[in-house]
Amino acid sequence: MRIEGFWYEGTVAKAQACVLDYSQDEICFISVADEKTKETNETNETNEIELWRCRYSDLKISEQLGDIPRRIQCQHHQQFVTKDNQAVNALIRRHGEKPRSGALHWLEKNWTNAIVALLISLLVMVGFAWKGVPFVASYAARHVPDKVVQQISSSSMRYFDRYLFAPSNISQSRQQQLRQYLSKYSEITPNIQFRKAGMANAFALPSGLIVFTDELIELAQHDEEILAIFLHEVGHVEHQHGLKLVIQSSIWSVMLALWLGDTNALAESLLTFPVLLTQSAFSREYETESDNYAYHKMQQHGIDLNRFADIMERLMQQNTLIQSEPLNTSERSQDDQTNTEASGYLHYLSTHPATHERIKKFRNGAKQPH
Amino acid sequence: MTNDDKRVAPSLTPAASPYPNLIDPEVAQEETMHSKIDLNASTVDDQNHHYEFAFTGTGSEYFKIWIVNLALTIITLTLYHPWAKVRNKRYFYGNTWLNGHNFEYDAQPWKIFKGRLIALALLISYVLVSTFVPVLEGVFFIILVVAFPYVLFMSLRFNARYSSYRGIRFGFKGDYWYVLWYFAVYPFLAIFTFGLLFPHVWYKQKQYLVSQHNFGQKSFALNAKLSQFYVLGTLLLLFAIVGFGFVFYYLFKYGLPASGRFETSFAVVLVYFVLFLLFTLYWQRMYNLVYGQSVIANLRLQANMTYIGYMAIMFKNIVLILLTLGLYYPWAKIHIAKYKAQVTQIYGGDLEQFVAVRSEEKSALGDQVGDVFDLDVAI
Repeated sequence: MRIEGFWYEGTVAKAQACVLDYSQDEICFISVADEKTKETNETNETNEIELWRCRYSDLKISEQLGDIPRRIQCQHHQQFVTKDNQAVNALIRRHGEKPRSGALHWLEKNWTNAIVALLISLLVMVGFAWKGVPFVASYAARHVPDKVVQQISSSSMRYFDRYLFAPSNISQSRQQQLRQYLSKYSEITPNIQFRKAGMANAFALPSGLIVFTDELIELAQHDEEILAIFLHEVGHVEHQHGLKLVIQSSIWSVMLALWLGDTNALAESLLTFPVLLTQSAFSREYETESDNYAYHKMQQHGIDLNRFADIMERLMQQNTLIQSEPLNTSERSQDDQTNTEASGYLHYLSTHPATHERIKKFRNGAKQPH
Repeated sequence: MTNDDKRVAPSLTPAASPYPNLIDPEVAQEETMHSKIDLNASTVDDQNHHYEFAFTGTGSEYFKIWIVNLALTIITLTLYHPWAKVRNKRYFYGNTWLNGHNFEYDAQPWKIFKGRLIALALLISYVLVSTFVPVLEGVFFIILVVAFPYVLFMSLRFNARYSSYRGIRFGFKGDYWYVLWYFAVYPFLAIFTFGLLFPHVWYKQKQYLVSQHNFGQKSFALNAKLSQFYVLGTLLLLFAIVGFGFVFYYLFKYGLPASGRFETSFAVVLVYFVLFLLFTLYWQRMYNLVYGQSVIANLRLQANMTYIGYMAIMFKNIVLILLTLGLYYPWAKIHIAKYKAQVTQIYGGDLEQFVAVRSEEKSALGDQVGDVFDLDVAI
């Protein structure tokens, strides 16, 4: 009925070897000679001094956690500390109580529980990542005020204009003609812009701003090809892909912080890499969604599905895959070989679904009568 | 220091004052931080103690605690997080030993929970204000800038107050205006000196953090010199020039490759590696500067962390965390804690000399407001 430990006075940093005695009704804390004082003190008769005496109900016993020492607080600042977790639990049980937070400790000490917890965490996280995040993102995207959408879009466009784009060389009359032609096929009222960027590309911002680069306009051999790309971009706007991506990445970063708790800057930056991978997987899904949108709109307006395939093929030959970075044109021919090889292992990294598959879908569609 | 310090803490039990000379604050106050005055003339040996740190946590034990608390946090939609956090922290404090006694962290999760609610309310009001009354957004931003040092200051107090050793609590005195200056205004101004003042900013920050912390009635002090921080700054600069210079050389040699090429991926890995070298150097040196050169009363801390040793552990940790998709994290934390305990020692006087701050000295208001925030601030 004795527990060995240390007695802290609470007012001074003195630690005394001490024994908790619970053989009587009251709990008794008795100081005992530790090894050091035994050696120096020859007369070890009156070493046992009663330090404190109180009822069990006055004690505050700390919760068990791993194998760290238990703290038993008496009134005021005095406390008794012992490594003997089992003895403390026996003391608690003797007084007819369940060890406080015993349930939590039971959860934490058991490997089966740990594995269950791991599975639950993984399931919930993966499930949330797969279904929850897109759901929350699309719900939130629908409820973002127009003003905010406009603000996000115009500030990104300002950034692009400052660092990436130059004013377009396409004549005003041609721009106007294209605007009128494209707007006829769109249910939303898009703001169509032209910029010089050094590569064939087109993209859409959440506010409905759709940008074509001069290079893409030059690459197109028919206006219906531009229309096909345009419808793809309208698909992004209609499905609010841009907003969803922004919201998703914010949810992701919060979840990452939660998963690792307190994390340092380096680990954080390194660990965002897998998040980027999942992000690009999601945006590939969006590309497919936009492709489908363009596919149905083209069918609806009786436009040859081959137009989309044609311009995509030409884009692919340019090796730019619409979204990717500028390519050093002089190196292109010799690098074609390495690029196709590399695209194999970096398939997951590419934002757009394998371009071949996309083209094939439109070519097949064109063959079928509808 | 207030007058209260001069009163001797009342002895509540017969065994309270074994060394009257050592715990008498009147005597203690006369000695300065760096003095070598022997407080207890009868025992000359008191100045030559050597105390070791030890860390006894294990990866497998902590993994179970970590994953169970994580699962509970997830199931409760993060509501459980304050409880999980306190348990994680208690595990690390409880397993850190100095001279045969362990540290203790006994914050109450409810208080952290309240802090979270306040932070959430602030965030929501910020979002609402910036959406519906954009004119006020600027005002709100200024409020946030002013509030940040306050939260930092309160968090430092919170974490120190609930940390104890041998029944004596740590503390953080601090002052809002100094925190605002050292952690917001001064670093901002230093940007305009092209980073020339950054080592001085670090020096001032660390010195302030250390000197405002106390254990019982004694304050810590930082003996590190300004020149040591400038040496670190110069080293970091040299590392950055050589490292990023090599990356640029590599990129120029192969041109600016398109994405999806092996060279691009390799360049990205190189950039990460240079960042890794820089961060580990900064952390290792900073640890030695802060934990190796702090003093309290007639005790001094010493830290002998080596760059290679620290880098090896960090590298292994990062690689294994990536390979296991984060599951190695608990082991990584344990290894770092073990390494830190292993390289840190305390030399000097008696550990038993410290006297607790009397509880009446803490103002009731400060206690309540101060208990709300719990940012993790690495010292």
